Amino acid sequence: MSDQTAEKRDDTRLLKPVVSTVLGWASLVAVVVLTLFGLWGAPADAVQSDAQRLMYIHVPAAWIAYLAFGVTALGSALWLWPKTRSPVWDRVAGSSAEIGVIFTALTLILGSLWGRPVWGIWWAWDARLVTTAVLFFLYLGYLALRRIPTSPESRAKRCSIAALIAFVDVPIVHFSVNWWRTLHQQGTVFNEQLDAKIHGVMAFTLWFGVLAFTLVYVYLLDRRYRLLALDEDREDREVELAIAERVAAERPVGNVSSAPVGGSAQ
Amino acid sequence: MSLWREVRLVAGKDLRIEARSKVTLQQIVPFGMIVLLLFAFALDPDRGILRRVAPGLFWVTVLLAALLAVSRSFGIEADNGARDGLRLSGLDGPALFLGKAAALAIELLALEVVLTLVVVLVYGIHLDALVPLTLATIAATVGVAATGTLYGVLAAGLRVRETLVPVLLLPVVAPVLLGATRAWEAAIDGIPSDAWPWVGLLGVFALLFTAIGMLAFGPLLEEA
Amino acid sequence: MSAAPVLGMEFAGYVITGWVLTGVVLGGYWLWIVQRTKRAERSRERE
Repeated sequence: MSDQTAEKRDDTRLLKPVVSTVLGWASLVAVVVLTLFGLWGAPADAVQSDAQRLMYIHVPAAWIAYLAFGVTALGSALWLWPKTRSPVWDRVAGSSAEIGVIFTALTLILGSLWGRPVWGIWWAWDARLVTTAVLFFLYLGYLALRRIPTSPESRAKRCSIAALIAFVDVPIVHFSVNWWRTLHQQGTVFNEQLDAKIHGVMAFTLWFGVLAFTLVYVYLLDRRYRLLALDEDREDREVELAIAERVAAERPVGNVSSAPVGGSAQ
Repeated sequence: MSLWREVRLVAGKDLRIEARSKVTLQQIVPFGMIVLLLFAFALDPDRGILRRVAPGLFWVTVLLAALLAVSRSFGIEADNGARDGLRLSGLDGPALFLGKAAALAIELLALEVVLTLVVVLVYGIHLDALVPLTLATIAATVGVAATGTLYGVLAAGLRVRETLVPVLLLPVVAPVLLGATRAWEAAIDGIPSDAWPWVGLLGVFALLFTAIGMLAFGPLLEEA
Repeated sequence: MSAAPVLGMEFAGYVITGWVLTGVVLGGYWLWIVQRTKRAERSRERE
């Protein structure tokens, strides 16, 4: 029985429990260190002053969002490809998308919080912000699709195709929006500020932020994957139970306790 | 049967159903016209805003009407096992996709002709540079029809189909709205040659999503 | 815009809000996963 449980446990995890725990602590430490550098260690920017400190989480959040959606696309493609089809990839895709949406929302909000003191506006029709907003809604829709109760196979098929469509659409959106905004010229100054070269401690903090958020992402992915696997498992069991109860109810004289074996024959 | 014949068969079926039920004509076109009217209420025609934003409003209206048209396109197969009939018909995925998308595109183009009339007469814009304008419109319509058919089949058979398709489709076709509006603005109010890059973008989008649709329609229909 | 500088920081309100929000969102999400996982594990044990 314990062997069976141990095996089952592996099915629901991407990383070994030890690795996951270490990763969890590493992420926490990294985030704390990032906070120290971001809020105190790094100097205030010459132009943006302390508002610069939001960049240390806004930029990494954006990168991780793109990473997450890339993983979703990869997982979806691997699921669709018959030779590599496995529920693992579908779960990876789903978990990664949810994390991606969260990081995208953070990117937008942090961008807004940065824009207000620096530019006096909560929102700007800057190419990157607009693309990020569309990205948010693209994958929010994907999450809505995932929630629909259908069979795991069916859901995986629909979702993987939807994820790949979204992924393919992103460069088109980016390109067209960028084109649109540069034609209007207003975008460039805004962009220049974001691209301003930073050196020394500030550059280090930014890269450290990317590292810290990557650790957080992988850790959350593993945990979310497990939750998804456990939930799917529970759904399977509930379906089997429901079928078994149905079968038992239809028997004139039933031996109810033996029903579950017959249930899966359906 | 050749692909072309299969496509004509499927498109013909959808268009014949439309010809008999007249849903696009009697419901979707009026919907589009009402939306254009409502925009006038919202934007105060006396200040010249309407004229300036006419291309954008036109294309937003077309997109909203397309949501209804997509819903209708797959709604006609929801009853009486019609979708099963489609699966068992022996027609393959690409043909089914192209047929349905073509019918949808034709219906949308008809809608656009009517709405263009409204926008010219009521919003007071003057059509100019008809070649890039028309090409942009056709490319945009094909793109919307292809993507709409793709998401229509993806959501077919789901009870939440009608609220799901909009939330999936609209972000994806954002570049079409962008390109079509910019192309119209260039053709009507600006420098017509500025429209051509956007026509190019719309064309690429249309081709890409037609290709994706041809690949994905069959597998998705199996799940519906 | 910013009120009197806190922690010797300009725009402190925006900066602190951003960092705190990020922490709350990520921490809250993690907590949600942990709680739901425990619940799922418990229902599994009962089988």
